Amino acid sequence: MLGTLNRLLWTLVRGVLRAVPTLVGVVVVSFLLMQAAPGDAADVMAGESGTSTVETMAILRARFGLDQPVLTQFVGFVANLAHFSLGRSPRWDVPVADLILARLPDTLLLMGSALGFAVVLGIGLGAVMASFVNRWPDRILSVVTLLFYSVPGFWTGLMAILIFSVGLGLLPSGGSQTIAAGLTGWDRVWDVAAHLVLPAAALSTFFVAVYARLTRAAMLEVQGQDYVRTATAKGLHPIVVATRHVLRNALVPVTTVAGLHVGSLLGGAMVIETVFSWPGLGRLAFEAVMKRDFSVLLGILVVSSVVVVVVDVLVDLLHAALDPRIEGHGHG
Amino acid sequence: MAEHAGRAAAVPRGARLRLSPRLRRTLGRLAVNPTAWLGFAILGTVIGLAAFAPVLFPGDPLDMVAEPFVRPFVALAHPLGTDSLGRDVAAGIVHGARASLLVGFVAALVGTLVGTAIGAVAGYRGGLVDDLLVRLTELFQTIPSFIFLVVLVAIVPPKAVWVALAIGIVSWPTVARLVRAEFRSLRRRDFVLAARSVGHSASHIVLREILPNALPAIIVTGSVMVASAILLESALSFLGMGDPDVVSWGAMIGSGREQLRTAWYLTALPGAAIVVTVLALNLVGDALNDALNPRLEDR
Repeated sequence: MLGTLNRLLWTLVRGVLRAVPTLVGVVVVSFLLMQAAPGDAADVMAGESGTSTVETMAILRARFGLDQPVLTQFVGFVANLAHFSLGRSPRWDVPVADLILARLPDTLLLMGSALGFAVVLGIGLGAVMASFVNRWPDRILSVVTLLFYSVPGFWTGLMAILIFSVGLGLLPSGGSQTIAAGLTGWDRVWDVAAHLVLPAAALSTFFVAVYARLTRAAMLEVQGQDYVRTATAKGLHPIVVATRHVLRNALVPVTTVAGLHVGSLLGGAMVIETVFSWPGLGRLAFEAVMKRDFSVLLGILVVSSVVVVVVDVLVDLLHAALDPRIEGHGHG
Repeated sequence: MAEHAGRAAAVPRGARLRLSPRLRRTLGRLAVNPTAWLGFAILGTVIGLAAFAPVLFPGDPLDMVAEPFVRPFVALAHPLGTDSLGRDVAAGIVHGARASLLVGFVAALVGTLVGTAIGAVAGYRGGLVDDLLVRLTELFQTIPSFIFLVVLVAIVPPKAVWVALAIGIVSWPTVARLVRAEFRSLRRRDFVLAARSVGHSASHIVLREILPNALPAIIVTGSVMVASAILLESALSFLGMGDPDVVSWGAMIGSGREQLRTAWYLTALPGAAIVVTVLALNLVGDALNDALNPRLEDR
């Protein structure tokens, strides 16, 4: 037991040590992008009000620290981050961190549901494909997964709205809950779940295809191993062999890749949230682009990178807990 | 980009043979593969339509040519109907193929070149240079690529070329990791040692000895990158962040979306164009992977 704890602790320490330079890099890249952005917040606000004088622009710049030398601005940026502050949004006039934290849970819910759905369905499809390799269920599912690979998520979402909301009237077409319905308890959970189905499914299609193909390949690889032959020779039922011996060992590459996909899911969520008016981080990013509020946009970039790093460490911990042979290595 | 991770794992470990006999066998294997034919046929058709777009549908596809909301398969002059501004949908789709293919191929080219250069240096040199470049690659893989892309496109001018460059910049890490792995395994092979002992320079060994052997893996990844670049471009222009002067499938869906309830074909048709094109590229990528993967022969 102590050995397990020790190993987990070491994995954690190693993961955090690996994460630090990556996060420093993210901060530097974000700051450079902020500098590269054309015009600053003062320009945009002045352009919108239409009556700005040079003096008011100078006041605005002084207020947001835009008149400081680049190095001073960078030190300020980093000092802010050290206090878990992402600065103040010029356009919403609230702290950027507050804006982002208010939206983060909805995005994590959407991402988590989509990832869970994709992993379960993908592994299921992959297991079926591997069991019927080169026979018609495998061939049909191969075409289906290839199709899933090729469909843009936002289009899947729009077609799903067309069929399930407009056509059949089964599911809501947007938002994360019925507004002003005042639902509580299980009614509210049910309401949110109904709103979640279509966006989560649309977000997951691509990843279903990835996991199905990965599971198929991994299971075919494992099927040739000696211990599987032994299990079959013992007279175990083929289904028991497929689930207990083959699938279980084929899961490791799938969980590894699933950890890597958090970044892509965050990106996909941005488009899907726009389609379904889901009030998450992605929609906030879209609104920030439209309002040209780079402090919010880069705040989202930093926070979503942190999410990716945290999940990476968590996946390593999970692997270390599951498999004693693995000693915490990141994606390397 | 992590999307490729599943694919990259299936890429061959690098073949030992010289290019010409291998190329002949590759082409032979492609020729007997029906999905390869299907993929190349669809892709060829799309490329043909894109090339002859100005002949097939002369004039600016963004111009109003008829009354709005002509349904598809009703008017012979406008076989796929018109949108809310009276623009011809068929003309939009055919001209849109130009934007999608151009952005897709340029982005994949940029991403492949940058990724190959970084991966080759890291894999061949090893040591501190390798450590630093791996860190850089990990950094770019940590930042969610689509959000990074949105930030980049918000900064650069809204021109198709810039969009393509930005997509290339966010997609090089996959190639870099793959090429690094290839170079690490290839640089210890006998033929590289032989080249080194003869006294060839590092650039000769990298470009003339190792690179041709890593090429199959790079080609497969490149073809998949074209597909994902087209998907990224369509998502960007769907959000209204593409080149506003160029008609593109994503932008058509973005504007057709407003009329999803009344004129669903405005969303469905350009989307189908994306699906068909990306599917063709994926079929070609899979077929290339099978044809270039020597492990399949052993089975």
